[in-house]
Amino acid sequence: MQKRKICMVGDFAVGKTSLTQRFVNNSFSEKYLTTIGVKIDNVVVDDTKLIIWDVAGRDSLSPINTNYLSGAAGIVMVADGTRPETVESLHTLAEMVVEKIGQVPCVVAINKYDHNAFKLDDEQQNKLTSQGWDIFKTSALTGDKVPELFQVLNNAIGAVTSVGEEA
Amino acid sequence: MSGYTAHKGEYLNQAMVDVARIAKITRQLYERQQFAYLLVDHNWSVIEASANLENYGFGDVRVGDDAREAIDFLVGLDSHSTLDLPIVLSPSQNPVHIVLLPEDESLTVVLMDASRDYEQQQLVQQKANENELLLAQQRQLMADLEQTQAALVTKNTELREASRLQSSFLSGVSHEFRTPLAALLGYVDVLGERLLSQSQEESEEQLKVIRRSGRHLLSLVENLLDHGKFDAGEVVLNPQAIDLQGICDEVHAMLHQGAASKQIALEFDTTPTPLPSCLIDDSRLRQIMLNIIGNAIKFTDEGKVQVIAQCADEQFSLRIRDTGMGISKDDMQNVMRPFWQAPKNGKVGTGLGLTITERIVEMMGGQLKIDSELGVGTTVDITIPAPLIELDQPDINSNRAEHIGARRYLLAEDDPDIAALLKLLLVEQGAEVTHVENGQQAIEIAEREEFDVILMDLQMPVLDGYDATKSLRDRGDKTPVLVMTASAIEADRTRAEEVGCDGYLIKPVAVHEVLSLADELLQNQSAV
Ligand SMILES: Nc1nc2c(ncn2[C@@H]2O[C@H](COP(=O)(O)OP(=O)(O)OP(=O)(O)O)[C@@H](O)[C@H]2O)c(=O)[nH]1
Ligand SMILES: [Mg+2]
Repeated sequence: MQKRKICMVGDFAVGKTSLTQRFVNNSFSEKYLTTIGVKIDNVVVDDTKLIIWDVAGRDSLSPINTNYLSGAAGIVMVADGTRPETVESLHTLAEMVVEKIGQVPCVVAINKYDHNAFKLDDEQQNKLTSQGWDIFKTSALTGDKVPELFQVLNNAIGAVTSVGEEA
Repeated sequence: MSGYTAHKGEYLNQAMVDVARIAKITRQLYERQQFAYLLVDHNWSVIEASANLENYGFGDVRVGDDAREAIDFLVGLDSHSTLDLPIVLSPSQNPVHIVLLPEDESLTVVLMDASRDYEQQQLVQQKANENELLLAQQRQLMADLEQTQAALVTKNTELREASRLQSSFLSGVSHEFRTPLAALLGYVDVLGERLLSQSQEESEEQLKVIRRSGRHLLSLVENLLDHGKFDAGEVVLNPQAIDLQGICDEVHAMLHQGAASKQIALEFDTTPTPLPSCLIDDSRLRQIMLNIIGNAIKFTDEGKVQVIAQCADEQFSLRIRDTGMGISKDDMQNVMRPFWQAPKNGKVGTGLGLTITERIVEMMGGQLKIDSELGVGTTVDITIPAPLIELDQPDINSNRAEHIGARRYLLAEDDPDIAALLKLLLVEQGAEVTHVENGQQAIEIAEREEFDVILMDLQMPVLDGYDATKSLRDRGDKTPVLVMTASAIEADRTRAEEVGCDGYLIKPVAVHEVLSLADELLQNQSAV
């Protein structure tokens, strides 16, 4: 079976682990347990085994360790719709990703869509779409748009990767 | 040189010992499971794996296999590059520190236990992140609070402005009421004292002032009541077939005196003359005209007020143009606000006329537009849909002719003045009137005597109009009941109809209204 490495990146507590767990195990926890280093999970999508690297979020103390991104075929960038600054972060995160591993397919999750403080104004949204990213307003809590997020990324990777390069 | 040669053998010996020791320590380390390793070629084919690799969850790694089949985290990695991955958690496994060390022909993957690092960092990082989330929440709360505060300040200003408008409204209303009331009472006194000594013409002049002041007061009260009714959503239109020309003439007659007393001209211009008949709520139309033309006269001290009334394409349009003080651009935004009055123009009022007029016009499906220039004058344009209709002229006349006849009225009214006035006016028209002071008396007398029509006040002591009517109906008395009330509220009317009233009159009641309504009812009754 084909295997592909993808990485979850974004600020701390935006819901990278929650989105991964919702997709992989269809589970969700209210409790916040911050990820240290990276947690690796896998799930099969359309005859492809996705190896999901759930990377520790960026915070004010430590930047993301880009070593974890090595060899990723695609990136899920995650922000928290209830914290506008995490949406702003996506742009610097994207630069960092490109610097480390070059251009790879990328989808964006603005998470916690279920939350009543969720807000994504037109200006923010336009700025994101102008980067050519697919934007998903996801909720790890309800599962809203979570399968779509990974499906679209997997399709995009399939479209750019020639078969010979894959393991 | 010789010293070096002499020691060369010793150095070599020493080096050999060191290497052996390092090798031993390394083996011991592996054995103690401090770390595991995997040796692969650059195509990831396994050359060698340490026995303890299975302690890290990778038991089924065999020589010659593709390492990436068994070990997920190797997928995508480059077998030629050094890579340090400090903490990696695979499902149900302990945290490991992974290092990739490439050589010419191979790559060594070293796995070391990182549990202790993980636990330490977890504690610190969890605290730091939670703190930062709290801080962010606090910032958000502060921002929300500031917003709420700003909203409160705005609201407060609005409330203060509203309260200011209310008080200026109250003083305006008081003044507005006092002027005509003073005129009315003053002339009533004059009339009372000099009725016999002065000429009939003089008396008639004084009566005109009294009538005008009374009407003015009434229109003020109507505006006030309407304002409340609009707010409660209780205003209902009642379109009827009316004679537009008749209404224009009537309004002119009501207002020209006021204009004349200020020495300004009031010109009415109607096209076509006479204006046709159409379907409109006549009392509302009268109210609109009185409000707007009345305003024009009030704010004009010199020149004239011109009213151009036109009826075409089922539209009634009115243009009221004055040469008054005009409205400034700033004030223009405010004129439609309830209770608002231009500051310092020396005129007072309720500040309701325009507001109510606009709402009525809108309700009729029409439009009101104001155009004004300070110091030059104001033009108000009103258009109202006016479906044309044929008025059955002769029929009206025959109606009018018929109600002059001896009808027997029972009048239940607790206010002696109103009762006396109504009785006087009805008797003048040839009617016979029996007066009682409350609902109870009305029921009693109706049991003994026959009446054609009962005129019933709603608010009365002992037994009110609602209960009295209900009681009459319960007893099988079918005499038409016309209720009279000072309340212009729709709900009261509905209640009156529910208890069995046949007609509804709003005080002050004009005698011709009583007569025509009574006619209508009696005709309907005989038709059944
Ligand atoms: N309401 C709501 N809460 C969510 C959602 N996703 C995550 N959360 C909550 O947000 C907090 C952080 O979620 P995580 O998934 O741990 O976030 P993370 O991005 O993995 O954080 P780090 O590992 O610290 O970088 C947790 O308390 C979750 O329960 C969501 O869609 N809706
Ligand atoms: Mg996480």
